[in-house]
Amino acid sequence: MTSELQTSETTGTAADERAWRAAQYVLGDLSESDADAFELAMLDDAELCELVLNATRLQTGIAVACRESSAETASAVVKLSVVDATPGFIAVRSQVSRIAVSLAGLGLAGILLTFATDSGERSSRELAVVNAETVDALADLISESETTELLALQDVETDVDPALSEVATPEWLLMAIELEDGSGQPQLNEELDVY
Amino acid sequence: MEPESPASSQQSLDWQQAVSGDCAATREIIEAACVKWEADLKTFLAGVLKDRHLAEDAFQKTVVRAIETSQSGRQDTLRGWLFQVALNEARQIRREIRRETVQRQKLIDQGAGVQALDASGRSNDLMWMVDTVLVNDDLAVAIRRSLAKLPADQQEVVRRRIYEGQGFAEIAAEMKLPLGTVLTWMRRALMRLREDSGLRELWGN
Repeated sequence: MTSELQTSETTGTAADERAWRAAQYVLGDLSESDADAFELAMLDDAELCELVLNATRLQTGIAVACRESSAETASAVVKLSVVDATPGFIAVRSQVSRIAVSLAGLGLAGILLTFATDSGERSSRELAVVNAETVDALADLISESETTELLALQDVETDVDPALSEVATPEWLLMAIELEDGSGQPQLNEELDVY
Repeated sequence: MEPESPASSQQSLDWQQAVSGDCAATREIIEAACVKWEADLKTFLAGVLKDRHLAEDAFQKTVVRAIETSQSGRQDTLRGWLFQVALNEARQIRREIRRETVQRQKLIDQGAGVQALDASGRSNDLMWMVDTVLVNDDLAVAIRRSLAKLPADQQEVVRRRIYEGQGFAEIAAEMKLPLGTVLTWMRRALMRLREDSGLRELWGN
């Protein structure tokens, strides 16, 4: 019994080995010398030719099956793309897009507002500091300038000729002024009308 | 043409009957045999030559040669003898290709689109398998079903080696597996497919 099993296994292994050899031959995995030796063996072994035939059928079938699977996969992708572009999908996608765009817009606006507020506060603070400094500087400048001007005025007043401080106004000039303040204007109009 | 059991085919076309008759009868029997086993012979020749068009040429030459040399047959069966004739024709074609390898290489360098051949005149390109018309729809469907039954790793190795034409070393590197493991998976996968009942039924073996 054991020997029968061993024989069967040996036979099975030998058959598998021949089939694997045939598969390698069809795949082109044998070296040139091995392939030549295999072909010479085929010339005297019809069964080996059948193994090569089966290996070729199987491998070409696998290649064609894989090609068809790839073609179907590609076709499914194309179909999905086409379906995705149908009006129903467009409506749904449009709504989704609107919501997404709205959310994005709100987010962007929030970011900008936050940035602007922060920036405004910061610039106000900076401006306030700058203003305070400027005010101080101006105040210093003004106080200095006032002091200088007052000193200058004092100098001017000081420099005025004492003779001019008391101007002697002639009486005729004072009289003329009084006449103009009183009824001088209508007379002028009358005079204009005359002219 | 549906593949058919070699055993049953051999019964219908007896080699002794072919060689014992007159020339006309022999020619008729051989022609009938070539028609009957045309698909098998072409598939076999494609496996030997790795080129569908060369296999077509080799088949035509096989038919002519078989008719010319029918009296010298040594095989026990007509089918076996036809495979022997076909293999000889294929080897002859390859010898001619080998002689023309240098010339073909020049054409390849000029971008003439001639299929790449190595120094032995053998093609290492497996595209002939994908481009073949030797596989009918039923067989393709059956093989897809059988492939789906294999473990995913074995499917991947088979697909990469046969469909994508990657070498085993390349597959092992890309799948981060030892070369021996990849070879074992390939061998197991092919063995399982050979033993798949659906495919055996279809092939009549």
